[in-house]
Amino acid sequence: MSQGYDNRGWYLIEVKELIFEYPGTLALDNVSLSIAEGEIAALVGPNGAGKTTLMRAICGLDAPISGSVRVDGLDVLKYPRQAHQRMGYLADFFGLYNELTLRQALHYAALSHGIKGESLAASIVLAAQRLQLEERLEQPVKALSRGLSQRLAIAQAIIHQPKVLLLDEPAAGLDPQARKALADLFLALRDQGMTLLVSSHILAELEAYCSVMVVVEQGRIIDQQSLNATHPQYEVLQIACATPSPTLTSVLQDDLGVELISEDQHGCLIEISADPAVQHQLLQQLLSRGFSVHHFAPAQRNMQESYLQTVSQYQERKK
Amino acid sequence: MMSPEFLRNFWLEMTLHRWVMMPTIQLVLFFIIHTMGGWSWLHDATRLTIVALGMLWGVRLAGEALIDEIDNRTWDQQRMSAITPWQMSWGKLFGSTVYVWYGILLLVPVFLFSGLMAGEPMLEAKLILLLSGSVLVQALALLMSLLMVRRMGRHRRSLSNIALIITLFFIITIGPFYDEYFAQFNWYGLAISELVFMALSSVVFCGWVLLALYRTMGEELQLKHRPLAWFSFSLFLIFYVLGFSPVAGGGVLELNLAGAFFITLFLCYVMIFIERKEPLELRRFQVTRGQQGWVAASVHLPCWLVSVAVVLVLGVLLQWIDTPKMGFMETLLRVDQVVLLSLLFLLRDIAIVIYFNLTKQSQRADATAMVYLLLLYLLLPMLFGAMGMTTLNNLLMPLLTTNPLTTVISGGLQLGVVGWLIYQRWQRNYQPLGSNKLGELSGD
Repeated sequence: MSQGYDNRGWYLIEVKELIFEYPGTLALDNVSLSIAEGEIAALVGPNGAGKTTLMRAICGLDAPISGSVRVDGLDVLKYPRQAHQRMGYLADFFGLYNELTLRQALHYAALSHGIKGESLAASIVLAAQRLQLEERLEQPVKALSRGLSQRLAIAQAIIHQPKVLLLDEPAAGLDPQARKALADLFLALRDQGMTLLVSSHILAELEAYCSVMVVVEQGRIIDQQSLNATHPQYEVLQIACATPSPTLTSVLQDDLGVELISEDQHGCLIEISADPAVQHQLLQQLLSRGFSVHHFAPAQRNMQESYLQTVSQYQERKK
Repeated sequence: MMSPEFLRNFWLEMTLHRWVMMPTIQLVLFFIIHTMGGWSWLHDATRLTIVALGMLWGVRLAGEALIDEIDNRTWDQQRMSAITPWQMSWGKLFGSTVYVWYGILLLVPVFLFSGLMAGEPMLEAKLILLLSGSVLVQALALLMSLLMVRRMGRHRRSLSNIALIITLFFIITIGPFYDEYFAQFNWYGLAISELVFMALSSVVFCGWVLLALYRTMGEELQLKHRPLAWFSFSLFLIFYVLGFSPVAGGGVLELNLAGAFFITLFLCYVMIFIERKEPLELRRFQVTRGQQGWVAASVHLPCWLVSVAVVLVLGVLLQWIDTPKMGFMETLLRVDQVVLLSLLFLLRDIAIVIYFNLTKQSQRADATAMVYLLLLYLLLPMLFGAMGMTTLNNLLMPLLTTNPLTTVISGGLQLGVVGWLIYQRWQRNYQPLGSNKLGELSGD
């Protein structure tokens, strides 16, 4: 594979054959991973699977035994300080400088990422606006609630407008309202050109904004799948029938050559060209073959289902 | 360029209240002292205050600068920034102690003026000694806390007291020279005032500690260095210490080499205890060597290993020069008794330290190793002495005896046993796991 490219575009994060050990424990076992530009990737897996270790290795905070990590084409292990200019990181247990005001905290974060001169003040205002903190800039950090602290921490992490943002369990401890706001924020950051890697073991919170799911199990990446269509010209459709249709999937796959993602008793999830004419033709063929289609609409893969399916398949393979 | 770290500390430390408080207290205090005892008393008071601020309070603040970041979970954020190791080093060093230095800067004119009025000689040298000494011990305190964080992955606030012990050691060592205006050191044949020499030495060692801080900070920020700075410091220390030797710079090469040998031997012991001994670093070394060669892998070499290599070379050279007509292998086999025994027991002691560091929970490994070395070098010899069996001491330490062979065999056996234990523990705890097969990865 050529460095950094495939049909999904430019890989912002590329991890190859990463091995990471703690004494007597293999935390990451030959992990390879690539995240394309503009994606929001969910790093999912049980506690202790290696998610945090992988994130810290990508950030260049901890050195692996072997392997390589590239962010925006830059070798993180070789040029960690330069790579840090291109990424932001929010740890699961982060800290803030409680004695500073929000403006000072953002000022320090900007300076520490090499922002100076005229762009300094603009960066502070932009970061505060993105996180809706501009009204609170003169408040002391210690006066912030948990949700606002989280927002400030993210503002600090993105003040240098990194291309990649890594967040470890960002929604932990937040109320539902704050979680919704966080999801909206991630989508907004994605729309502004950022690529995100979000680690969590709570799938419900990831489903709202993630486009890729990376499943980590016992230090290995056992699956990486797109939650949306894998190609910009394709999309994911959900088909549901009014009556049980056991032959639906075989017809779709074998006769009509459609890519099947998942299935259940009444329908399935498929990936198909986004061309309306192609979709119309497929619907027509299904109806002409007697399927009682009552739902035929764009959908996102169900993360929980995909995850459990992946894990059970992996465990089957292990047996 | 202004360090962001210094600026942040400046915001935190220099509040309006504190700006005003420091000169007010100094003014009141020194007015009282001057009234009571005149210029001489005032000069002594400013000197003591500089020591108290720079070497006691400053050391405490510098030692806790990094520990506070770990406690507040902000250290990763700093490590993820673009702050360079040098900016981080001086920003933390002078940022955490900025209030102390504000106090000292206010004191400097009082120190000089009162000294002039009291007729104190060599004021410049004294001031240089006090200021560089303060920077030296503060930088040492920060360096120690950094090394501790790197070694243990955590910290112990109580251990910052070690920095205070170093300060007291510094004060006790350097203090007597403070008033030595006329006494002179003979250093490489140069007669230099003891006070001036100590002031200059303090400045030079301050430079080395700052370099060590910069390099260690760089490693903490994931920048790789070869242990060249340590090698250079070892050479400098040899050069510095040998300057005091009566045969310094003279033609007695053997004595100078012997001096260099024992200085490096001492440095081996210092570094094996100070440096991080992460067993997985050896794995990184192996993998990098396999994939990128020896030069690239050398960034994973520990400093203590460099010192061991230097001491081995010096040991062989020492005998080589003594018996120039002999062949190399012959020389190797006839290394002086003292040199051979010192090397043998050095390797045994290093093996003991490494053995304890190969446990999965190695936080107390160095302390445990130290206890065992104390047992070997102090407690058992005392026990043998009490039992009237002092000859047994020859088996435990490199003593000069009429029958060195017994000591050599004993040392060799001990080294062999500890080496075997290391091998066993390595096999048990550090075998490549999962698909992590070194052969495959390194291309060997």
